[in-house]
Amino acid sequence: MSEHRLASIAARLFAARIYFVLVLTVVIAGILVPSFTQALNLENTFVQASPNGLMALGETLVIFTGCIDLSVGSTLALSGIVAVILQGPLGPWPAIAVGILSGTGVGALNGLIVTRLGVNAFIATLGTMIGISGVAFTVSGGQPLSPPNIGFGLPINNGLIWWLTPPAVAFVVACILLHVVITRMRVGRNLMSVGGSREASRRAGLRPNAYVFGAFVASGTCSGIAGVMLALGLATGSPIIGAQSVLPVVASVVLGGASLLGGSGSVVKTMVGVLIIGSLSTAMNIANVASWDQDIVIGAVLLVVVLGGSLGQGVRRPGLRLPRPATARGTPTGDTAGTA
Amino acid sequence: MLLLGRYGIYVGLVLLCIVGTALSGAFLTSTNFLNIGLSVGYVGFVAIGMAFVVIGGSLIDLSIPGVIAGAGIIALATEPTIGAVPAILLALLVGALVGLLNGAAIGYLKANPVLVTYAAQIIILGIAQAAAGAGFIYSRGPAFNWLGNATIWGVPLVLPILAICLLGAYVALSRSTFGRRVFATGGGYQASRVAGLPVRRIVMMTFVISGTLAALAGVLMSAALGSAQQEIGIGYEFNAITAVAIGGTSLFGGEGSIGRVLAGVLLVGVLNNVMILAGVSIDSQGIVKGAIIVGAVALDVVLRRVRAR
Repeated sequence: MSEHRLASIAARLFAARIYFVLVLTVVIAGILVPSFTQALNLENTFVQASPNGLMALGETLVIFTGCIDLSVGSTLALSGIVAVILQGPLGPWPAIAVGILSGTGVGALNGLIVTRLGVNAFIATLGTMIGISGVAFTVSGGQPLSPPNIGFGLPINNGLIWWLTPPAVAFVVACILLHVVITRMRVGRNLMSVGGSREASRRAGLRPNAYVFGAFVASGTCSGIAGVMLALGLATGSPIIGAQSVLPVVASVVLGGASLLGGSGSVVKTMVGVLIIGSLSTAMNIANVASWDQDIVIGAVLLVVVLGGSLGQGVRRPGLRLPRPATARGTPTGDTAGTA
Repeated sequence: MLLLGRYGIYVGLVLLCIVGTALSGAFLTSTNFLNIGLSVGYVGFVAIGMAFVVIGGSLIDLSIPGVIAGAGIIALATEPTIGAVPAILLALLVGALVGLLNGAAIGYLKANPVLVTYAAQIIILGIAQAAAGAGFIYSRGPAFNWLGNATIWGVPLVLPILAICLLGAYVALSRSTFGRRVFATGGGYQASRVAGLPVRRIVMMTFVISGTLAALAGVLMSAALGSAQQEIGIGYEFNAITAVAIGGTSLFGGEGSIGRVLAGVLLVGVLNNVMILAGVSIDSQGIVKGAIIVGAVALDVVLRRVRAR
């Protein structure tokens, strides 16, 4: 076998390293916590990871375009509260629809602020993260709310297909759908090229802002679905429920290999990233590992995967270099040291 | 218009103060201004460090909640055995060390700053809680009690310390070779590297500064509270980045100033204060705050666009 062949095989194995990490995680967890590999526990891992997984899928699309969505947790809280409040007056299905649409609305708001006002996505969604959380607190009166019927009278915690509960089904369907869109359809390829280089895609005749807007709408909708499903499953709409979820969500997307610069990554690998973190916490929950020790383990695994990735890529690539967008997008100019 | 573009953040701050004065006679009093200062003082330390990281081109340091809690716990827990000054120095050293490790991974190994510093945050918080348990570590010696309650001419000690840090950061960022190198690295990484700047070390140093200042905030905060626990630093990373961004420092790196950071910190403090004076309910304050963040940055973008023409 030629040296070139070997190198190319090594490169392919390296590119697929996240799958090995997942297998390794499950195997090691299975050895240390034997009951983890029982079918029921593996199923639970998947079901419990579904809400975060849905948010991570939407976040992946936004990150593909080179932006970031910090408002996913607040959107999760708001959509759940909206659905719970409306179940009485509207009935279960319209309440679910309006709840999800409230997430879509937040996504559209984010998209408009980023594309029309030209505000950097990080700041725009930091603002909506705080603002939408404020809306969730105001609407709910700062209290967790319960719907008139637990689970809206729907079998939300039972298997819908085989053992897959409705949230898990939504997670799988969204993953397959988005994977096909990104890899097989023109709109997906265009989205990736907008993330790769906004200027180049503009010159190629695309409207980058339309794709950025679409990605934010998709992300808001995913968070909306996750929020409604979670509120149904827990029989509670709570304003604080998503407060700590944005960083784990972004972490699982980046763990899956998506670059925060945009233009690269894979929907399926995001799902793998979600499942790695999900397996770790389920296995440790079964073993009664204290929550702080769980944090240490998950943080260490994140570090190993990230550092392994950057060591393997060689030190030639620069780290996080955010591309400086064209001045037309309202990039601040001048005004450096000493103006204050 | 041109001046407004450059000094928009300061104009916004003055406008907000006028609104506050109109709303309530209690606004324009020294007691109220001390309250505002105290409410944002700790974020101030963190925001200075965050500004170095952002200007150097590394986007964000998410390890801050961990460093704040870790430093507070270390300082209070070791003080009875090793004395107050060594305990404080130890806490600052640990903060600097966390920054060094973050910076080494990000500067030298080119690892993603968001993930590395997030991992650092959850690992340190985990260690802090494993060490301190779920409860509080209480301050026992008189030294921390003094540090937490001392005043100079009626001003709590934390504010003069913050002023000294601001001055030092201003000199380091805008009046020194190191500062110019931070701007150069954040503004054009490859160009700076080709020009022979030690870009990797510069990136690392920005994280060391951030870690040390977060540790200082943690020590002062625990001294004032008389106790430390795992959760005292939660949310500070986002509060600090909010202040930095509202001040008009570009999150892409390469520009910004300590004056703008201070203005951003004060704007958040005055805004919270004015909302309380105006009787905005706690539940709804987030809506106003979010809208102001987006509005301030959008206005900044528009004004800069006008100026660029």
